[in-house]
Amino acid sequence: MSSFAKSNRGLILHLDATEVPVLRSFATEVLEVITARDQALGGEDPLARMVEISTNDKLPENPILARLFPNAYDDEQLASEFRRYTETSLHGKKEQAIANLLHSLPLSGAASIKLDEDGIDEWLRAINDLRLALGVILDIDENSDKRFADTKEEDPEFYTLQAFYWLGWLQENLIEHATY
Amino acid sequence: MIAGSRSRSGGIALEHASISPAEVLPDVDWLPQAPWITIVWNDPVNLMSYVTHVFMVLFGYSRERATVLMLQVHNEGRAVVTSGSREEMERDVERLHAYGLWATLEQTF
Repeated sequence: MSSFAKSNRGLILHLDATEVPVLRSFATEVLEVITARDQALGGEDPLARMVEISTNDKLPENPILARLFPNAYDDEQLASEFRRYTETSLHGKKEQAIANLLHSLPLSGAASIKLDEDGIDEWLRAINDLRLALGVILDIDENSDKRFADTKEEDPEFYTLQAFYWLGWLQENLIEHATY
Repeated sequence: MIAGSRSRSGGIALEHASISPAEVLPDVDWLPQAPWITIVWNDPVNLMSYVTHVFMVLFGYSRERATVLMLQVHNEGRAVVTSGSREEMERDVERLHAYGLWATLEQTF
Protein backbone atom coordinates (compact mmCIF):
# COMPACT_ATOMS: atom_id res chain seq x y z
CA MET A 1 0.00 0.00 0.00
CA SER A 2 1.23 3.46 -0.74
CA SER A 3 1.63 5.98 2.02
CA PHE A 4 2.58 9.58 2.40
CA ALA A 5 4.99 11.22 4.82
CA LYS A 6 5.59 14.92 5.18
CA SER A 7 9.16 15.87 4.51
CA ASN A 8 10.85 19.20 5.09
CA ARG A 9 9.12 20.94 2.22
CA GLY A 10 6.81 18.62 0.35
CA LEU A 11 6.25 14.97 0.92
CA ILE A 12 7.70 11.52 0.50
CA LEU A 13 5.51 9.20 -1.49
CA HIS A 14 5.91 5.50 -0.80
CA LEU A 15 4.69 3.16 -3.51
CA ASP A 16 4.84 -0.59 -3.01
CA ALA A 17 6.17 -3.16 -5.45
CA THR A 18 2.78 -3.79 -7.06
CA GLU A 19 1.95 -0.14 -7.57
CA VAL A 20 5.16 0.96 -9.23
CA PRO A 21 4.76 -1.27 -12.30
CA VAL A 22 1.12 -0.20 -12.72
CA LEU A 23 2.05 3.47 -12.70
CA ARG A 24 5.06 2.81 -14.89
CA SER A 25 3.12 0.86 -17.53
CA PHE A 26 0.26 3.35 -17.90
CA ALA A 27 2.61 6.33 -17.86
CA THR A 28 4.70 4.69 -20.59
CA GLU A 29 1.63 3.92 -22.67
CA VAL A 30 0.23 7.46 -22.48
CA LEU A 31 3.64 9.01 -23.08
CA GLU A 32 3.91 6.93 -26.25
CA VAL A 33 0.54 8.20 -27.47
CA ILE A 34 1.56 11.81 -26.89
CA THR A 35 5.01 11.33 -28.41
CA ALA A 36 3.60 9.58 -31.47
CA ARG A 37 1.64 12.69 -32.37
CA ASP A 38 4.83 14.68 -32.05
CA GLN A 39 6.52 12.38 -34.54
CA ALA A 40 3.57 12.50 -36.88
CA LEU A 41 4.31 16.20 -37.15
CA GLY A 42 7.93 15.37 -37.97
CA GLY A 43 7.56 16.19 -41.64
CA GLU A 44 6.53 19.77 -41.00
CA ASP A 45 8.43 22.96 -41.63
CA PRO A 46 11.55 23.00 -39.38
CA LEU A 47 11.38 26.75 -39.06
CA ALA A 48 7.82 26.54 -37.84
CA ARG A 49 8.93 23.94 -35.31
CA MET A 50 11.71 26.21 -34.09
CA VAL A 51 9.31 29.02 -33.29
CA GLU A 52 6.87 26.54 -31.80
CA ILE A 53 4.14 26.91 -34.38
CA SER A 54 2.40 23.69 -35.21
CA THR A 55 1.37 23.20 -38.82
CA ASN A 56 -1.19 20.68 -37.69
CA ASP A 57 -4.24 22.54 -36.55
CA LYS A 58 -6.97 19.94 -36.41
CA LEU A 59 -8.53 18.30 -33.38
CA PRO A 60 -6.66 14.98 -33.13
CA GLU A 61 -8.46 11.90 -34.42
CA ASN A 62 -7.07 9.80 -31.60
CA PRO A 63 -9.69 10.24 -28.83
CA ILE A 64 -7.05 10.28 -26.08
CA LEU A 65 -5.18 13.09 -27.80
CA ALA A 66 -8.46 14.86 -28.52
CA ARG A 67 -9.18 14.89 -24.80
CA LEU A 68 -5.68 16.02 -23.84
CA PHE A 69 -5.62 18.69 -26.52
CA PRO A 70 -9.22 19.86 -26.87
CA ASN A 71 -10.50 22.79 -28.91
CA ALA A 72 -10.37 26.18 -27.22
CA TYR A 73 -13.05 27.77 -29.37
CA ASP A 74 -16.42 26.63 -30.69
CA ASP A 75 -15.52 28.14 -34.05
CA GLU A 76 -13.35 25.74 -36.03
CA GLN A 77 -11.19 28.39 -37.61
CA LEU A 78 -10.47 30.16 -34.33
CA ALA A 79 -9.79 26.79 -32.70
CA SER A 80 -7.30 25.91 -35.45
CA GLU A 81 -5.48 29.21 -35.08
CA PHE A 82 -5.24 28.79 -31.32
CA ARG A 83 -4.04 25.21 -31.73
CA ARG A 84 -1.36 26.24 -34.20
CA TYR A 85 0.17 28.67 -31.72
CA THR A 86 -0.24 26.79 -28.45
CA GLU A 87 -0.16 23.06 -29.08
CA THR A 88 3.59 22.61 -29.35
CA SER A 89 4.15 24.19 -25.97
CA LEU A 90 1.23 22.39 -24.33
CA HIS A 91 2.53 19.18 -25.81
CA GLY A 92 5.97 19.78 -24.32
CA LYS A 93 4.52 20.48 -20.88
CA LYS A 94 2.48 17.30 -20.81
CA GLU A 95 5.31 15.19 -22.18
CA GLN A 96 7.71 16.57 -19.60
CA ALA A 97 5.39 15.96 -16.66
CA ILE A 98 4.84 12.30 -17.53
CA ALA A 99 8.50 11.74 -18.46
CA ASN A 100 9.66 13.21 -15.13
CA LEU A 101 7.21 10.99 -13.28
CA LEU A 102 8.56 7.94 -15.14
CA HIS A 103 12.15 8.89 -14.42
CA SER A 104 11.48 9.03 -10.71
CA LEU A 105 10.25 5.43 -10.67
CA PRO A 106 12.63 2.48 -10.23
CA LEU A 107 12.58 -0.28 -12.83
CA SER A 108 11.32 -2.73 -10.24
CA GLY A 109 10.44 -3.00 -6.59
CA ALA A 110 8.98 -0.40 -4.26
CA ALA A 111 9.78 3.31 -4.38
CA SER A 112 10.14 6.24 -2.00
CA ILE A 113 9.84 9.41 -4.01
CA LYS A 114 10.55 12.83 -2.54
CA LEU A 115 8.31 15.49 -4.02
CA ASP A 116 8.62 19.21 -3.42
CA GLU A 117 5.90 21.70 -4.34
CA ASP A 118 6.80 21.68 -8.02
CA GLY A 119 7.07 17.92 -8.00
CA ILE A 120 3.62 17.56 -6.50
CA ASP A 121 2.21 19.91 -9.12
CA GLU A 122 3.91 17.98 -11.92
CA TRP A 123 2.72 14.63 -10.61
CA LEU A 124 -0.82 15.96 -10.29
CA ARG A 125 -0.84 17.09 -13.91
CA ALA A 126 0.75 13.87 -15.14
CA ILE A 127 -1.60 11.65 -13.16
CA ASN A 128 -4.57 13.65 -14.35
CA ASP A 129 -3.56 13.09 -17.96
CA LEU A 130 -3.21 9.37 -17.22
CA ARG A 131 -6.72 9.36 -15.74
CA LEU A 132 -8.10 11.22 -18.74
CA ALA A 133 -6.51 8.65 -21.06
CA LEU A 134 -7.88 5.76 -19.02
CA GLY A 135 -11.24 7.49 -19.00
CA VAL A 136 -11.22 7.37 -22.79
CA ILE A 137 -10.09 3.72 -22.85
CA LEU A 138 -12.80 2.75 -20.38
CA ASP A 139 -15.34 5.03 -22.05
CA ILE A 140 -16.12 6.65 -18.70
CA ASP A 141 -19.29 8.72 -18.63
CA GLU A 142 -21.80 9.89 -16.03
CA ASN A 143 -23.31 6.38 -15.78
CA SER A 144 -20.05 4.50 -15.41
CA ASP A 145 -20.47 3.87 -11.69
CA LYS A 146 -23.48 1.72 -12.43
CA ARG A 147 -21.86 0.07 -15.44
CA PHE A 148 -18.74 -0.92 -13.52
CA ALA A 149 -20.40 -1.84 -10.23
CA ASP A 150 -20.33 -5.55 -11.04
CA THR A 151 -17.01 -5.74 -12.84
CA LYS A 152 -15.19 -8.86 -11.76
CA GLU A 153 -11.56 -9.94 -11.90
CA GLU A 154 -12.14 -12.05 -14.99
CA ASP A 155 -13.54 -9.05 -16.91
CA PRO A 156 -11.05 -7.62 -19.39
CA GLU A 157 -11.59 -4.10 -18.04
CA PHE A 158 -11.00 -5.02 -14.40
CA TYR A 159 -7.29 -4.30 -14.29
CA THR A 160 -7.62 -0.99 -16.10
CA LEU A 161 -10.54 0.00 -13.90
CA GLN A 162 -8.60 -0.75 -10.71
CA ALA A 163 -5.72 1.35 -12.01
CA PHE A 164 -8.15 4.18 -12.80
CA TYR A 165 -9.56 4.16 -9.26
CA TRP A 166 -6.12 3.88 -7.69
CA LEU A 167 -4.82 6.85 -9.71
CA GLY A 168 -7.80 8.86 -8.46
CA TRP A 169 -6.98 7.91 -4.87
CA LEU A 170 -3.32 8.86 -5.42
CA GLN A 171 -4.37 12.17 -6.91
CA GLU A 172 -6.68 13.00 -4.00
CA ASN A 173 -3.91 12.30 -1.53
CA LEU A 174 -1.42 14.47 -3.41
CA ILE A 175 -3.95 17.30 -3.45
CA GLU A 176 -4.24 17.07 0.33
CA HIS A 177 -0.54 17.83 0.55
CA ALA A 178 -0.63 20.72 -1.91
CA THR A 179 0.00 24.20 -0.60
CA TYR A 180 -1.60 27.42 -1.81
CA MET B 1 -23.35 31.86 -19.84
CA ILE B 2 -23.53 35.53 -18.96
CA ALA B 3 -26.56 36.89 -20.76
CA GLY B 4 -25.78 40.06 -22.65
CA SER B 5 -28.00 42.27 -24.76
CA ARG B 6 -26.80 44.67 -27.33
CA SER B 7 -28.62 47.96 -27.02
CA ARG B 8 -28.78 50.23 -29.97
CA SER B 9 -29.96 53.77 -29.51
CA GLY B 10 -31.24 53.59 -33.06
CA GLY B 11 -34.26 51.76 -31.70
CA ILE B 12 -35.86 54.90 -30.38
CA ALA B 13 -38.86 56.06 -32.34
CA LEU B 14 -38.70 59.78 -32.81
CA GLU B 15 -41.78 61.84 -33.33
CA HIS B 16 -40.28 64.44 -35.53
CA ALA B 17 -37.45 62.47 -36.89
CA SER B 18 -35.15 64.49 -39.02
CA ILE B 19 -32.27 62.18 -38.53
CA SER B 20 -31.89 58.67 -39.81
CA PRO B 21 -31.13 55.67 -37.58
CA ALA B 22 -27.64 55.44 -39.04
CA GLU B 23 -26.75 58.81 -37.56
CA VAL B 24 -28.12 57.88 -34.15
CA LEU B 25 -26.02 54.73 -33.83
CA PRO B 26 -22.89 55.37 -31.84
CA ASP B 27 -19.55 55.24 -33.55
CA VAL B 28 -18.24 51.69 -33.43
CA ASP B 29 -14.87 53.00 -32.28
CA TRP B 30 -15.94 53.98 -28.83
CA LEU B 31 -18.26 51.08 -28.12
CA PRO B 32 -16.77 49.33 -25.10
CA GLN B 33 -15.05 46.05 -25.92
CA ALA B 34 -17.31 43.16 -25.04
CA PRO B 35 -15.48 41.17 -22.42
CA TRP B 36 -14.31 37.68 -23.11
CA ILE B 37 -14.93 34.83 -20.71
CA THR B 38 -13.33 31.49 -19.96
CA ILE B 39 -15.73 28.59 -19.51
CA VAL B 40 -14.82 25.33 -17.85
CA TRP B 41 -16.92 22.37 -18.95
CA ASN B 42 -17.91 19.35 -16.89
CA ASP B 43 -16.37 16.01 -17.68
CA PRO B 44 -16.93 12.63 -16.06
CA VAL B 45 -13.29 11.96 -15.19
CA ASN B 46 -11.91 14.95 -13.33
CA LEU B 47 -12.17 14.76 -9.55
CA MET B 48 -14.09 17.52 -7.80
CA SER B 49 -11.17 17.99 -5.44
CA TYR B 50 -8.82 18.36 -8.40
CA VAL B 51 -10.97 20.92 -10.18
CA THR B 52 -11.21 22.96 -6.97
CA HIS B 53 -7.45 22.67 -6.54
CA VAL B 54 -6.80 23.90 -10.08
CA PHE B 55 -9.02 26.96 -9.64
CA MET B 56 -7.13 27.86 -6.47
CA VAL B 57 -3.71 27.31 -8.00
CA LEU B 58 -4.32 29.03 -11.33
CA PHE B 59 -6.50 31.95 -10.30
CA GLY B 60 -5.68 32.38 -6.63
CA TYR B 61 -9.30 31.90 -5.65
CA SER B 62 -10.18 31.10 -2.06
CA ARG B 63 -11.24 27.55 -1.36
CA GLU B 64 -14.80 28.77 -0.95
CA ARG B 65 -14.94 30.52 -4.31
CA ALA B 66 -13.15 27.69 -6.08
CA THR B 67 -15.60 25.19 -4.59
CA VAL B 68 -18.62 27.23 -5.67
CA LEU B 69 -17.30 27.36 -9.25
CA MET B 70 -16.47 23.65 -9.22
CA LEU B 71 -19.97 22.81 -8.04
CA GLN B 72 -21.38 24.96 -10.79
CA VAL B 73 -19.37 23.01 -13.35
CA HIS B 74 -20.49 19.77 -11.76
CA ASN B 75 -24.19 20.60 -11.39
CA GLU B 76 -24.82 22.88 -14.34
CA GLY B 77 -22.36 21.43 -16.80
CA ARG B 78 -20.23 24.56 -17.07
CA ALA B 79 -19.07 27.66 -15.25
CA VAL B 80 -17.52 30.97 -16.18
CA VAL B 81 -14.27 31.06 -14.25
CA THR B 82 -12.57 34.24 -15.48
CA SER B 83 -13.30 37.23 -17.68
CA GLY B 84 -11.23 39.89 -19.35
CA SER B 85 -9.50 40.54 -22.63
CA ARG B 86 -9.28 37.93 -25.33
CA GLU B 87 -5.54 37.54 -24.81
CA GLU B 88 -6.01 37.00 -21.08
CA MET B 89 -8.70 34.37 -21.70
CA GLU B 90 -6.52 32.55 -24.23
CA ARG B 91 -3.80 32.35 -21.60
CA ASP B 92 -6.27 31.06 -19.02
CA VAL B 93 -7.60 28.40 -21.40
CA GLU B 94 -4.08 27.29 -22.22
CA ARG B 95 -3.24 26.96 -18.54
CA LEU B 96 -6.45 25.07 -17.82
CA HIS B 97 -5.71 22.65 -20.67
CA ALA B 98 -2.25 22.08 -19.19
CA TYR B 99 -4.04 20.87 -16.05
CA GLY B 100 -6.40 18.65 -18.03
CA LEU B 101 -9.54 20.70 -17.60
CA TRP B 102 -11.62 21.30 -20.69
CA ALA B 103 -12.05 25.03 -21.20
CA THR B 104 -13.12 27.29 -24.02
CA LEU B 105 -13.26 31.05 -24.43
CA GLU B 106 -15.92 33.21 -25.99
CA GLN B 107 -17.14 36.77 -26.13
CA THR B 108 -20.11 37.59 -23.94
CA PHE B 109 -22.15 38.95 -26.80
